[in-house]
Amino acid sequence: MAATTTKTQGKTASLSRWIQGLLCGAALAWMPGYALLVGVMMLPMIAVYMMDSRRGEASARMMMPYTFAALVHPFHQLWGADGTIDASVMILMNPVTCIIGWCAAGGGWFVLELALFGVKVLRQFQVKKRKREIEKSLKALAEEWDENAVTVDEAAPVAASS
Amino acid sequence: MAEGEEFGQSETTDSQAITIDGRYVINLAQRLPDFANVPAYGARDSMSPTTEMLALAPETFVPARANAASFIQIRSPYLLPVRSVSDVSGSVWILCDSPPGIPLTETSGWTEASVIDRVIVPLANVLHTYHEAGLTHRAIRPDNVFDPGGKSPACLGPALASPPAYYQPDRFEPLTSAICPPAARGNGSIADDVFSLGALAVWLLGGCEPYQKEASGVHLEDRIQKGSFAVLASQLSLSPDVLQLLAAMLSDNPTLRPTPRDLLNAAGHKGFVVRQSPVATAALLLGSARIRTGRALAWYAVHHRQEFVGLFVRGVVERWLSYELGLTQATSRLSQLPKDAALGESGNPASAAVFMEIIATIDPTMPLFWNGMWLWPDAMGQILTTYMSGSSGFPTDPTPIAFDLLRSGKIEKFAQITAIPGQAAACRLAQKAVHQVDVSKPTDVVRLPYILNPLQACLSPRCVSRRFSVPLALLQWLNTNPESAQGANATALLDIHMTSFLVMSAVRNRLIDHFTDLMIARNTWFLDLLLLAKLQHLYMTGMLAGIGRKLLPHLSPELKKWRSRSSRTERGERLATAATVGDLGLMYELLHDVQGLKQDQLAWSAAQQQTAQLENERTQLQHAKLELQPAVQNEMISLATAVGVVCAIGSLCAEMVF
Repeated sequence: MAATTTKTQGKTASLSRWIQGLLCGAALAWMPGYALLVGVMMLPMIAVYMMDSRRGEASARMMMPYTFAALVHPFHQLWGADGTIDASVMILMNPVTCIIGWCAAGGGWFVLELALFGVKVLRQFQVKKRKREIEKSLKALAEEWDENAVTVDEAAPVAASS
Repeated sequence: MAEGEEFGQSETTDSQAITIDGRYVINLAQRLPDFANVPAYGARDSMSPTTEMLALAPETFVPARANAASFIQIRSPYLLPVRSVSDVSGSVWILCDSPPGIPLTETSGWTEASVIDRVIVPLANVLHTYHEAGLTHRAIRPDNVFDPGGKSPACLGPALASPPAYYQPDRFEPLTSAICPPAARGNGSIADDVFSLGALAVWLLGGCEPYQKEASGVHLEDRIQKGSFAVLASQLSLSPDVLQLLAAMLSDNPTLRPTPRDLLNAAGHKGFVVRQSPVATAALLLGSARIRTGRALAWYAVHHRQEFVGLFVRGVVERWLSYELGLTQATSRLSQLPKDAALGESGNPASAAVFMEIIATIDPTMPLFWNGMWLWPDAMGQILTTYMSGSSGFPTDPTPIAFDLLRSGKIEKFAQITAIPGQAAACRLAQKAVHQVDVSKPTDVVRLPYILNPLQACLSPRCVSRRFSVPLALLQWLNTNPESAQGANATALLDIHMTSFLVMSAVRNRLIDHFTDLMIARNTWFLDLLLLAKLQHLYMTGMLAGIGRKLLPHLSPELKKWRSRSSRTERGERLATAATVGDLGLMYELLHDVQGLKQDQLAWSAAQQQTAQLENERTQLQHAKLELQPAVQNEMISLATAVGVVCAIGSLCAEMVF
């Protein structure tokens, strides 16, 4: 049963690869300008996907909306220039476009790291706070249950003054 | 003596005067010479100001006689009247009339007729009254008999102000009493009083020579060998009638002496027949002594114990008693006793018991002999009291004697054998007392004087001079007097004497049923608090702030039973308040709160658990890894994605707008 499921999943994965490959090929064939723009803008994403073995796919997927956000304007420009390959090269030749696109991907990565760091800091703060509370409770308990503390001699002046 | 009379303010007008029974005023400033060895003060009767009176203050170690109340009932024209015996002021006071004349010690020139008419007959009259009442006087000696002068009969001083025969010189005491230390003489019998009267008459007829410097025990051996009459009156030249009378009175066998009733007719010169005790023709040799009577055998047996036991084991003693003295009953009783050479060893309770039985059997009129000491059982309380005073008059420490003899029940044997009336009852009384005050170890015998003599003042060395015979007076003194505080190394407020005295008084006042209801096992600050709190409640003394303050600093160890600091503080404050007020009951309750202590214990256990949990958690936190879990990472990725999506939408919107 399990083997069947794995087999099915493998089939689906390879099928989606095939479809992705076909779509990429079709895009290169029919819309080379758009494909070039998208390809260049997505370079960091692809690099991450290929180099980060641990969570490459998830990181790449997370970077996708950022890159998309950076792609909107150049895409619009390319659309305005009828999607020609020259226009695409022109847009890409503008360093601002590339820098923004790639920085957007980096921004996504940065946001993730920032969130993780924030979580860690929060976690550490919580631990320290709890430790302080424990210390305080232990001290109070030790004082309350100290066998050699107050004697009647200490208590006597209190009562006498009262 | 009686400086600290704080107690009984209603009876006291000021610090120098005490009023007794609402009419007798004792003037403490007017100290008189001792009256028959008892400290005396001036007193007056406010209803009859012309009557001269004496107030006697018996000292703690020589208390008034146990049955003093019975003595007040005795009235006789020849007896100094005792008006009152009272302890309402906190200590015992005996009020009697001043003597009508000088004591006989200061008189001289007595003739046979004057001695018989003015001394023997009137005093026999008094003794007859005593005998009828079942009492004995036991203080007939020249300084306690008074001569009003002229031809008036002599007047006998009071008997109740000191222990029986305590101050009697040997020459005025019969042998059976003189061989005992003064404290061990006991109440004796009326025959002993008759002997004292005879000895007094002999002394008067002998010229009233001073006897005070006579060492005790000097004539004892002579008297044992030759007889008391022969030793005391041999040098007198008397008429045959008087000689017979005195010989009968001074007989060493109490059963052979005349009764007081016989003596009432002494003035009629009625002849008295002197009956003789059996005397052996063949003497028994014991050491260097030649013994001819049972009494002498008993006395020498004690002094030459090893030799005596040698003869006894061989049966020589039995044969001698049987053939020479005709004491067949004693012989048969002796034959039933174990004949063991170990009897010669003193200090062993078993051999002491058998030896006691042998001595009592040989002469049933002799006192009890136990481990080197002659004593009468009814004197047990006074023996212990006198020993506590540091007296060196005892041949051995009487504490183990009292313990072994009474607790083991060996005294029962003596009660069966003795021929002296009243001694069997005295033995039973002493044994009963031992069980009543729960004497379970030798140190417990200090409780006995209080049960055997209700007028026994507290024997604590700290308040001996105060003569406290009433518990309230002692409590008041402890409460108010700074001297009552113990030294720095003290382990308790009270001592064993005070404790025994207070508890016994409560038993006597019927505030508790049994001695053990109130008695504490030992004296510690906390147990003293328990006892004093109960006494405060029983006697309704009111607040005892002084005692509370003295106890308070020493109760910390008890307070430490509470483990919680806050409840300790709170309890300490309440304890201090109760001590300041003087509510000992509340103080005890605060320290003996079983429920509270249980709760404290539970709270402590809970706190221990909580501490363990917290420490465990702290350890876990110290070793906790800061690595984020995959789920959190995925969450964060989703979050970053969401932010990206928002950016993308924002970017799209911005592109559409501009």
